[in-house]
Amino acid sequence: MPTSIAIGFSQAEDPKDAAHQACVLVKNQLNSITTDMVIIFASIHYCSKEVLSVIHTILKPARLVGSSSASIIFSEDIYKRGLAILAINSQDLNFAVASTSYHPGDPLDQIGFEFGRKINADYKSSITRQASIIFCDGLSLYDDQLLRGMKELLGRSLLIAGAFSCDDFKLKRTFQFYQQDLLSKSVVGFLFGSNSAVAFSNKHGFRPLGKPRTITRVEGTVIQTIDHKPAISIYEEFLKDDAKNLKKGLLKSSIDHYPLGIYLEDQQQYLLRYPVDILNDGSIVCQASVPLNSEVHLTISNKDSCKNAAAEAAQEIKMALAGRQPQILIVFESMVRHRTLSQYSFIEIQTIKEILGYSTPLIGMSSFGELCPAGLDENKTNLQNGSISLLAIC
Amino acid sequence: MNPSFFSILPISLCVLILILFLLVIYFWLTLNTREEKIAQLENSHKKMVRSFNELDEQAKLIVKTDLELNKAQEELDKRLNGLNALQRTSRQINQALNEDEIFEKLKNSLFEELGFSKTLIVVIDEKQRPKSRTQIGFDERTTKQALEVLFKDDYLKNTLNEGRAISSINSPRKTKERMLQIFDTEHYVLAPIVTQTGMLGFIFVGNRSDAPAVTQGDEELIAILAGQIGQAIENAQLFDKVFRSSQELEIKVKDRTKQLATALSQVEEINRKKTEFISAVSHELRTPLTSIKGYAAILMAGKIGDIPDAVKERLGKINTHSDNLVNLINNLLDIARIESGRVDMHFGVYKTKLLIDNIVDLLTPQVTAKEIKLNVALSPLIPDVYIDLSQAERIFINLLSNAVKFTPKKGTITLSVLPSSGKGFATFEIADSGIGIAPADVEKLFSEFFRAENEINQTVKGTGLGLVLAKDIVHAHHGKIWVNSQLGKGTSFFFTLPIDKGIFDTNKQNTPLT
Repeated sequence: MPTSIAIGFSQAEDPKDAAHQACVLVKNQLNSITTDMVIIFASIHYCSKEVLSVIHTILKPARLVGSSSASIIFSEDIYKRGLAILAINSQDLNFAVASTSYHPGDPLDQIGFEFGRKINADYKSSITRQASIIFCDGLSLYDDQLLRGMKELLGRSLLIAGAFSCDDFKLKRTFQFYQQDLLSKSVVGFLFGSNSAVAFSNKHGFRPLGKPRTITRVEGTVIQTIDHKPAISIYEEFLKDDAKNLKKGLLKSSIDHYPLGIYLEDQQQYLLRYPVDILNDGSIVCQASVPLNSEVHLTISNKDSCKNAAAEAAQEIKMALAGRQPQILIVFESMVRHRTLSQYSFIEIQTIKEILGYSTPLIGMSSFGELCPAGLDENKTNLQNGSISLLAIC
Repeated sequence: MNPSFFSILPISLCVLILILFLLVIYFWLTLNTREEKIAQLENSHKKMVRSFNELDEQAKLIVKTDLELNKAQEELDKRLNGLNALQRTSRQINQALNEDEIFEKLKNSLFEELGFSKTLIVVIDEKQRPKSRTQIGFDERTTKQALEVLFKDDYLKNTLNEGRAISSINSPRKTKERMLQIFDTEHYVLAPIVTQTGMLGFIFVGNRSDAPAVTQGDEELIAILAGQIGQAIENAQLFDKVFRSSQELEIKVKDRTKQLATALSQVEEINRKKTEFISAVSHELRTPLTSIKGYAAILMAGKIGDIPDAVKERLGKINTHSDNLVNLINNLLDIARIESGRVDMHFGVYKTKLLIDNIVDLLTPQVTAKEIKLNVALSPLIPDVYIDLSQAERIFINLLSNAVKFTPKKGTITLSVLPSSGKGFATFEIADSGIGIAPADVEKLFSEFFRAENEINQTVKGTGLGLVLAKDIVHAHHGKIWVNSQLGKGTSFFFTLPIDKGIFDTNKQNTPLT
């Protein structure tokens, strides 16, 4: 049986109606009583148990995962509000799903280990596992330990990528869908194996601004000083008066146009970090850890550099697939990048389609952080901010 | 000879001194070069630092410009998105036919798109009570409290009544504090919903302090939305009014139609009874009248003895008046028969020219007596008519007799058949150069027993039934009859007669025989 892929979408006001409409669209395309794998991307309005109940009643999925998002990406448009369902029926692709919840202070390596154990247990096939895509709570701080824990069981060479769930910029609560459950503060994901090709790419297109500065004191995800001055001074120098309200309007102000770019010598690339909080002593809290003594800049982008980054990512995918046409293209785009690009954000999708073909089904979500393999070290996984990730499955 | 200085020193010492000398020179030269290099490096370092600093300053300039552009872009995008959302909403609410539908169509997503987490739309009802129609981010209790406080605040109340919008960017400090107290929002827009009759309510939108501040654009958008809602409510009210009026009108029309149908049926019943009565009375009158005429004739013939001339003269008058009375009764009976549908019509195809020639022959003595010129205008292409000959002749005789009666000596009467005569009918015109009819009398001409007031009618006797009979016979042929007249200039009577048998099938259901 060839792989069948169906996409349903609805913006009906009532979440249950929306679920019903999206499911009917999927059902009509799949023409099957059950579904092997369902992936949900939903704006906050549609994150409810009732929605899951409708989806299970109509599509009867064997496995289901999903994430809340600030917008849903399709090949024809990007919607701030809506419920999207990606459904796959395939004998070539073998799936497994898992979820683990966690609380602040929980050892993330153990959470990752637990996730790895569960997803391994659910993977029944002997076919080589190709990748695992995970969705994490975007409002919890991330640590490499999570991935380290996962890889202990899943193997260092397995591609692990994913996205951090987000909400509608209120930064109050994000949701993860797992089977019959609507979760928060969790990591959910799916693993798949097949004999077909898989390609992944992540780019951001931001360029460093001004002279290099050095992170002189850091503790985990908190950058305390840059060039021996409180970390916030880097923004104060550049943004002047606009820096006054930085704390007040994080991710809602001018700061989101200029993420910190941390140069990683070993990977020869800039890692982007949006400040998620500013402490009273001027320390900047990032979503994930940053290395001490690394070179740091404010970074800047424009619609052309972003478009070029999307084009580079698409070209990488094209090269990796060596002429094979992807059956589905999944996009994770930074919610902040999407917002700063505003009306131009669709040019990235347009560019991707131009390179990878207009007929390839494309679906995606806005994320509050993108998990992707590090540039030169494929065994390592970075958390990027402000980037765009592409996953192509043939 | 004194030995030279070098000759007294051992050679090895000389070499040592030379080496030392060379070393000194070397170190001196090396030191000089290092100092130069250090100086150069210091110079380069300074240059690099300056370049970096300049780069930093340039970057700051870029950021400043970029920030300004981003802000302008964001405001523009916000306005654009807001206008798009507003346009969509306006289109939907303008299609709403009632107030409830308007507020159903004001979806929460609109205010989310406009970037507001709190919304309150209040409409003042007929009893002047504020009623919340849309509330996002407010519960019933807080809404009630907010409304109570808001309508007690003179400044806010007056501002709304004056049709002005206020927002956190143009409010005095005290108002800002008041709004924070009432609505628990730092950034807000409050705009009145105004209709032609005055303020109908208001829209409040706002955000807490952690959200971006509202802009002039937000204030304008909300004011436009308030205007659109006002207009939509006004339209819905107008529609409701028109709908109600039309329903009331429909009920009235139905009632009136019912009343008219009842009245018509009563009139028809009365008319039927009148016809029966006239028919009965006419029959009853005709029998004794025949006897009177018979006896008068016997007396006049002297069959029962000679009678004096004076008596003979009186008997002659009795005979004449009896004839008039018989004519009158015959006319009444004909009318009654036609109206009740009891008359047998014998339709057939007749040559129009032949019909006209016969009529003209019949009336020639009267026309000649008054020296009237009778013109007959008939086209050679005139079609045959499908008529009851004897009845149709009575139309011509009645109308032509009238024309002769009202046309002065040496006048003109024209009988013509008009070329365009409607589908299935021929139109006849009898025009005279007579005294004409007053406009007020024209309408009454075809009423029973009506006689226009003029000199001729005062001297020449008549029944007032001739035109009624002509009308009834025309209608029995499914035709029409009408008149044009100008006082002092003459009168033209027009009537139509069928030329096609099929006309009776077409008009069977629509036209009664009377």
